[in-house]
Amino acid sequence: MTILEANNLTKQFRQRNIFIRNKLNAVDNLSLRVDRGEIFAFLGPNGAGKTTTIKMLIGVLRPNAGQVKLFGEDFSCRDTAVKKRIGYLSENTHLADYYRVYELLGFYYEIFRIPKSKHNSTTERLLDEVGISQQRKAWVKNLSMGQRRCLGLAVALINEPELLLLDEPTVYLDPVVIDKVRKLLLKLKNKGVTIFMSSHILSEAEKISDRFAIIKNGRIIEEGLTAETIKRVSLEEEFLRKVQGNV
Amino acid sequence: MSNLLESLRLIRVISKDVFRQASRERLMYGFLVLSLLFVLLANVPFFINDPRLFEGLPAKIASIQIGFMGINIFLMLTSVFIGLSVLQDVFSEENLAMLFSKPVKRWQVLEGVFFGLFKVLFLNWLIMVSSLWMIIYFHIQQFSPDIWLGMGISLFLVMIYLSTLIFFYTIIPNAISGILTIFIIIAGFGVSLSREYFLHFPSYFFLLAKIGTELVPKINLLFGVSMNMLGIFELEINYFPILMHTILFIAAVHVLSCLKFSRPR
Repeated sequence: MTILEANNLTKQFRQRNIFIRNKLNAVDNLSLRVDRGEIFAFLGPNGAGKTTTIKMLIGVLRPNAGQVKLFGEDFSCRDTAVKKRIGYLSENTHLADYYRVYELLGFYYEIFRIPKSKHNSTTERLLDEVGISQQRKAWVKNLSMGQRRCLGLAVALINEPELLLLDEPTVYLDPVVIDKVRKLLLKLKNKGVTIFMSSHILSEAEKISDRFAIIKNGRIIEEGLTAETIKRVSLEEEFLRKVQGNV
Repeated sequence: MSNLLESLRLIRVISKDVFRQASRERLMYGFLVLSLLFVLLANVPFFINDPRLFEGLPAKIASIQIGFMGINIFLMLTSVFIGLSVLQDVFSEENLAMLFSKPVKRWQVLEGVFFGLFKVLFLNWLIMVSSLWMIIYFHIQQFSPDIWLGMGISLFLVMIYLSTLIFFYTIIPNAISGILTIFIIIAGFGVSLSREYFLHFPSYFFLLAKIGTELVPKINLLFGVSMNMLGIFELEINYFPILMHTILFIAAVHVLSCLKFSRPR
């Protein structure tokens, strides 16, 4: 069953000042689909349109054209019922630094209406899963970039999502934590969670993804099965060949 | 009905978050300390018992006048500057992305921000008015509930400042929204005078200008209501239309802000 489907998504940003008025095509006629229980790696160089695409998929940005379908139904940014089934980790992990870690999770528990009786146990489970259980009472502002990333991942998992959209999930993480996150994502996949992740770390994508797509200048230039591709060539070589050769 | 309750719940959750964020603004505590120092000056009329000072007003009225001025000036400054600082944080692109990826509607975020800021300013107001009330109680040993009632109008003014600031911020998300809010406040002071002026020129242009003044909040009249209640002046003002105009103005600005903000970029 297709969980996520994007059809002909286009996003233009207006660049405007006193002298210049033009439009930049951040995403251009992009179509893709992700099936249930699949890990889909969304790869591309800097500025290719990965984050913009993810923001359109979760309804934060409005596409200029095209359509997003989540769980088989048309999705709009006002569709809060569908958002209860999604988890999202943003690229820059903006977390309110005036909270302690457990208080920040508490804020999101309240948004998702998770009963108070479950707060403590859920906090322990989530922090343990992402490897920052020692930081339970730490202030968010005192966390390192990697720990913030892990906390962001914990926030994305609060509502036990069926679809997880991760924008660069392993950036800033040390190899030990990357390994932990990898195992967590595979565990979630085995539970039937669909994962859509953008990444620069191609070796990571190679290890855990089922399918991948490479985006460049807002367009998908390559799509395929990871296992089949790496029989011929590594994902990094494929990426470099496509990105550097496809001008 | 359940949708409405759910919306109110989410607004409360976001307002709690905004309240917490606004509470750590150091500038706000600076304003609060300055306002309390100003309010302390309300002691002066009780100590200097000279009819040549304070235009021969009774000491209580002169004292309330000083407190009234300090409280209103600092509430305006706190609303605009703290509001602006909090809005810049809450409306940052990454924070909005985090919030909108959760089951929260855009208008709920906007209202949550308003109520969160209002809560902070309400606490500021409570501290300032309590101080003034205590000073007066200390000197005249009377409970003076009129101080609370009269100063309550300042909360309407706070709502006007915050609503206007948020409205402008949804259009121009930077410090210019603060400047525009101050312009609206200044324009609000001049409404009565402008109307009188426009009435002298019977042309369509001035008629339109006169209608335009009806839309601007009548801040000076609200001050008039407040001063009447506090016993500073006895002005001939009909309270009801002024309060209704204020409430309608605030409601209209909220609706416009939500409409503007409800469409993602």
